[in-house]
Amino acid sequence: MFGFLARRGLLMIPILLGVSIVIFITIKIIPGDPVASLLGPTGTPEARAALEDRLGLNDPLPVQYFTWLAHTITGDFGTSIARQTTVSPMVFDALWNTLILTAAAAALALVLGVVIGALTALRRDGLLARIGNAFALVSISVPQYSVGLLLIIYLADDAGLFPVSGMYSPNGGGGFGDLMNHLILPAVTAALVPAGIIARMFRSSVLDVMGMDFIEALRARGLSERRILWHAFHNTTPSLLTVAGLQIGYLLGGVVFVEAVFSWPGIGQLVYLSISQRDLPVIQAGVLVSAFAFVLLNLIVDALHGLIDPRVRTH
Amino acid sequence: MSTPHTSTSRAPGPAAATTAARPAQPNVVLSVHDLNTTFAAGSRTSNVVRGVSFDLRRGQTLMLLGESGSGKSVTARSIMRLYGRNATITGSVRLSGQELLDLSADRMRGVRGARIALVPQDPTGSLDPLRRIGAQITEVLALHNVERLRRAGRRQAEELLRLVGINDPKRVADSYPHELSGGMRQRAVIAIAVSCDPEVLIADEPTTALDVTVQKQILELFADLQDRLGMATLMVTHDVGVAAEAGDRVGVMYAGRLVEEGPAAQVFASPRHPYTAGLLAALPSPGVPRGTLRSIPGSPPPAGAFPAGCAFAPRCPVARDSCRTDDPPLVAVAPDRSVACPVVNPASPSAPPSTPTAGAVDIPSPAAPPADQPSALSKGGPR
Repeated sequence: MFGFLARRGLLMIPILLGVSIVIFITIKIIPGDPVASLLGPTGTPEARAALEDRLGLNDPLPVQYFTWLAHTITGDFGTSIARQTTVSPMVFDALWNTLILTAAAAALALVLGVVIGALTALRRDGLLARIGNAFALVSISVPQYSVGLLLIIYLADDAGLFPVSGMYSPNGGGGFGDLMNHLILPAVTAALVPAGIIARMFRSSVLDVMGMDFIEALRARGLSERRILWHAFHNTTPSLLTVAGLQIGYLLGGVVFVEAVFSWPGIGQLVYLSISQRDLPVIQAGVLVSAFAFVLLNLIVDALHGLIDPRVRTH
Repeated sequence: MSTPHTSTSRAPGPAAATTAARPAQPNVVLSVHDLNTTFAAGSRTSNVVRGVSFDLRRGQTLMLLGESGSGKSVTARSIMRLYGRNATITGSVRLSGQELLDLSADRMRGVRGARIALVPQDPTGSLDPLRRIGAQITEVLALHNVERLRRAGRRQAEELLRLVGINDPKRVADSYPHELSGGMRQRAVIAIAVSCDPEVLIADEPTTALDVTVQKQILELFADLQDRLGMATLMVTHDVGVAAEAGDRVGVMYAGRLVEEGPAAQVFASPRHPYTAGLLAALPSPGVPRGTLRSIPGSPPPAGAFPAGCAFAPRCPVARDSCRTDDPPLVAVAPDRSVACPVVNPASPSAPPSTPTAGAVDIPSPAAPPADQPSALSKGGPR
């Protein structure tokens, strides 16, 4: 198990290096001139040359990359061009906020998905199962931003049940209850698609396992249906983990819409704003940190997978 | 004890005469009488097992031999009542005198694994892939012996593994199924099956998924366990070689019916039913060049869509007109043998005086099938 984890951990390094190169090159080739946007329309050619020199933009690309990488590894993401503050605290605060939203949405999606999936698999003809199937289909098909807007209009604005946007009320004291109150709508919005996908995948994996030979073998050994179900659910965990891991990964990237709609101060919103400001260091840091979180999540999923399924550990 | 048996429905089936004619046998552990299994799919029903009757004695192995779709596996599973609500099972299944078809689901659960155990076809598929072998054995031990301590269960699990011929039971008990070879897995499955000292062991094609060399070892293991534990074994197979090698008695099934039953040596030496004779004639024998294998013309009817009369009549070399309308009952032809064919059965009242004597069916039958030769029947793959 330890060797397995160590191998997976080492594998992260080339992946992250690859990600960093892609990010660096993308930033270099996208249109938009950071120097011009930094100096504004009144910048003289002399000021321009001085700034380019100061930012190291005249160095060869590999030199620029390794300089950037060396700073990045030590946690120094440079200074925001737009706000003139260090990028690191900004990005890590935003990442933390995104993780709160993602974790809430992931928990919700997992619970909903497993309950609906199990229900639709085991009680195929019941009314509840039909409702569950319909929910899974609709939740996958409806775009997140429209759901978010509908929730804001009806539940937050009209009914006044929830705050419209943000993470804390200005006068709410910033407590846990205040956070939860703000969290519910964006978490529900973000959870819908992964909940639907997890439900459908879990349904088919429960049906798969229930059709396997060992289920009959367990019945022939005299096990009760409840214990047989327990064995069956245990055997669905590897595939559930794979699907849930992927979905949570997508969530991490996909919450950008939800953050924009609900003005959630997360990494998606930060990157989104920074793009419009051509704030390259923030964009780079934001994307890199998101990618790092994604890769780390996959490592965690792999580790759990190895923990649950002995067949994964051996090869 | 539960209520005295009255089975769900007891239409006097064709086989009733047989059992009545046969004197009550001592040591009969499992007595199946007029077993019928019908599956419902939507509005359609298909009757897959039709009036199967046989007795199984202590220390004896009965081979149910037949092609895919002949109802042999369904017969075995019906005895254990392993089917859901879409299956209707009627007739009588008595285990040491106790009627199983009348038991509540709860009490039937107590019988499964404890008094009747199953060894399924595919050892890989019949073990939980995520649990260690030892835990899978102790689970059954704990289930059927409430008072046993967990630690004792573990020791007993290792003893059981040793019993089924595993030399390093500690390692195997700590292994996951995928870490073992196919033969080892089948031994582990057998250890689970015999863990609670069952009266009847049902083995459904226990060697089909294994290499030929391992097949022989597993068959020897079955014989050895039977000697030591004294249980009765019902083994389902489509392999004439396996049936000849490991069976004390053999029951040949065709289209949901038992068409011939008797001591294995006698049945294979002088088959009476034209289907049995055809099967044996189809066996490849050493001396006969390739490409000259005999086969029974036609193919068996699909399960549940059996023709009227004798289901074998359309393919039968000796069929008469009455065969296509009257379904022949299984009738005792000797103290220990029964055949469901009026043509070859001189005792049958409908048989004309000119009927050839028993065994003299038109098909040349080899003396006995070569036991170590893998055979022989059409089988559409493992599943």
